Amino acid sequence: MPDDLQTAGLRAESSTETDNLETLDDTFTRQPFGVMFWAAIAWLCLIVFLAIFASWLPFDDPNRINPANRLHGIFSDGNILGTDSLGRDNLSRLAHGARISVVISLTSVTVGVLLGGIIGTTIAYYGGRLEKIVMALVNMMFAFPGLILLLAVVAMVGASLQSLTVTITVLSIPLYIRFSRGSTLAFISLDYIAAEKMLGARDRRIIFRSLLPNVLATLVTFGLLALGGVIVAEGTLAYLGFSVPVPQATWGRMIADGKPHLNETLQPTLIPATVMFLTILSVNLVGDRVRRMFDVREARL
Amino acid sequence: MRVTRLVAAKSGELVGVLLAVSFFSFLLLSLVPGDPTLIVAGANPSPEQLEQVREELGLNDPLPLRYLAWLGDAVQGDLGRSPQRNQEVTEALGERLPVTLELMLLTIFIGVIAAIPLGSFAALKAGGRFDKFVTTASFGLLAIPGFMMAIGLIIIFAVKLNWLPATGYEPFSENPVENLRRMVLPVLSLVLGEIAILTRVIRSDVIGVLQSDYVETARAKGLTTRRIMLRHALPSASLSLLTLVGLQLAGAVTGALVIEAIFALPGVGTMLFTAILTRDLVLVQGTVLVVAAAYVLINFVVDLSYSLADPRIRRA
Repeated sequence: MPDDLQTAGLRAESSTETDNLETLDDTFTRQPFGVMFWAAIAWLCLIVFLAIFASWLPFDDPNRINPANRLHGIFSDGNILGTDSLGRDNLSRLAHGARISVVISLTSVTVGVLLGGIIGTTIAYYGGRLEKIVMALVNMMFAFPGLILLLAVVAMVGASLQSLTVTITVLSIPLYIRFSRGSTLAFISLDYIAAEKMLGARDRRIIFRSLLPNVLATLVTFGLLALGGVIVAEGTLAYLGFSVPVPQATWGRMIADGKPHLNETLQPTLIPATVMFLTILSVNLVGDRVRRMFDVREARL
Repeated sequence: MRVTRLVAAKSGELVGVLLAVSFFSFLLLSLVPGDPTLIVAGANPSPEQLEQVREELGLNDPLPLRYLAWLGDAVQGDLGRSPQRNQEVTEALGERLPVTLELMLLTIFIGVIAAIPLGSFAALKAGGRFDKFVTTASFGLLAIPGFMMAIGLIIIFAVKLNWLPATGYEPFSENPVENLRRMVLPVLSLVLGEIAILTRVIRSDVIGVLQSDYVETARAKGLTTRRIMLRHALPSASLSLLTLVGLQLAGAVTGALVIEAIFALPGVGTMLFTAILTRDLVLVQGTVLVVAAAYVLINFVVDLSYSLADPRIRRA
C-alpha cells in the first residue's frame, strides 16, 4: 500500500533529521533546514491548498451518497482514493475535511498569538494589580481539563464551525498569555528598553514597537507547536461525534465512519488517519525546527 | 514552619479554583439556549411536571441563590437525578468510576516503569544507535493522537491478528484475567504516547545531570556507571519526572475518557459522551464537575509533593 510506505519512509527520514537536531542542538543553531523540513512544508502547503480550493477543484460532491459505489478501493474509476461506506468520494471528503482542520487551527492560533501576545506583554509591562488579576484568571483556566471544558461548552451551545473555533480560541488564549508574559519579563530588563523609557517614549510605543515584535517571534514558534495540538483536539472531538454537524466531512469523522467497516476494508479508515498523522507530524517537525532556530526553550510545561 | 505556610497558601488557591470549577459546571445548564426545564423534564412534559421541575431546579430563585443551593447539595454528594437514566448522578458516577480509574492507573504505572530504563539508556549513550531509535520513535508516536493509536491497535490486534477483543469489558472482581485481557488495547493506546513523552523528558534530564560536576566527581572517584545512574543521576532527574507524571495523570483523565468511548468500556467517559448525545444535561453537569474537580485535586497534590520533595524548598 503506497500510503503505508509513504508514512514509513517519511517517519524513518524524519527521524534522522530530528536526531541530528537533537545531538547537535547547541552547537549548530544555524544548520540548513534539510529535506524533511521542506517535505513537511510541501505537505502542509498541499493541505492548505486543498482546504482553500476544495469547492472549486473538480471533486465530487463530498456529501453525495451512492450506495452502489460503496467501499471502493484506491485508484478505482472516478474515485482516486476510493469511497466510504456510503459511497462518498474519499478524496473530496478529505479536502473538505482539511478545510475544517485548517480553519479551526489557523484561526485559533493566529488570534491566540495576537490577543494573548498583546495581553501578556501589556500586563508584564505594567505589572501590579492588573497583572495579578489576569494571571490568577489564567491559572484558574489552566486548572480546568481542556478537552472536558471544550466538550461541555460544545454540548451546551451546539457544535458548529464558529462555536468550535471560538471555544478553542478562548480556551487557548491563557496559554499564550502565560508564555508571552514570561518572555516579556525577560526582555523588559534589557538596556534598550530602559534607554527608551529615559528618552521619554510612551508606554504604547514601548509595548507595540519594542516589546511585542520581540515577543511575537518566540510566541509564533510556540503557536506553531500549538497548531498540532489544536488539530488533535478537533480530530478527537470529530471522532467522538462532537465536531461540526453531519454530513460535513472532517478527518476525525471519516476515521470514525470507517471504523465499523474495518472487517471489510481498511482504506476508508487508514486514508484519513494517514493524512492526519502526516499533517500533525509535519506541523510538529516545522514547529520543532523553527523552535531550534530561535532557540526557544520548551515552555509547554 | 515554611512548609505549613506553603500548604496553607496552596490550599487557599485550591479552594478558589474548586469554587470556580463548580461555578462553571453550575453555569453549564444556564448556558443552554432555551429553557433548561424543557431539557431536564424529558419528552412531552405536562405543565404541572414543568412547574415541578422548575421548582426542583430552583429556577424561580435568583442565580447566586441557585448556585449556593446547588453547591450545598453537591458537597453532600447530591448532584441531582438524571431523568433519562432515572438514576442519581452520584450513583451512576460511582458505578463507572472504577473502570476509568483502572485504565488511568495502569497507564501511568506502565508508562513510568517503561520510560525510566528507556530514557536512561538513551541518555547514557546520547547520539548512539539506541538513542536514535528511541528519539525517533518517540517523535513519531507524539504525532499520533490517542484515538488514532486506538484505531491502529484495533486494526492490528483485533481485525488482522484476531488476538484481542476490540470492545467490551469484564469486571475485575468477576474475572481478573479476562478483565486484564480486555484492558490491553485501551491501555496500550494511552501508554505508548505516555512512554514517548516521559522517555523524552527523562532522557534530556539525565543527559543534563550526567554533564554536571558532581557526576564528574563521582566518576573520578571510580564509581561504576550503574551506581552513578542509580544513586546520583536518577534521583535528581526524578524531580521533573514527578511533575510530569502528575501532569500526565491529569491529562490521562481526559485521555482515558476518550479511549473508553472507542473501546466501549463502561467508564465515566462513555457515560459522559452518551449523556451529551442524549442531552442528559444534569448528568453532563455532574460528570464535568467531578472530572474537573478530580483534575484540580491531582494537580494540587502533584504541586504540593513537588514542593515538598525539593529539599531547597523543604529546608529553606
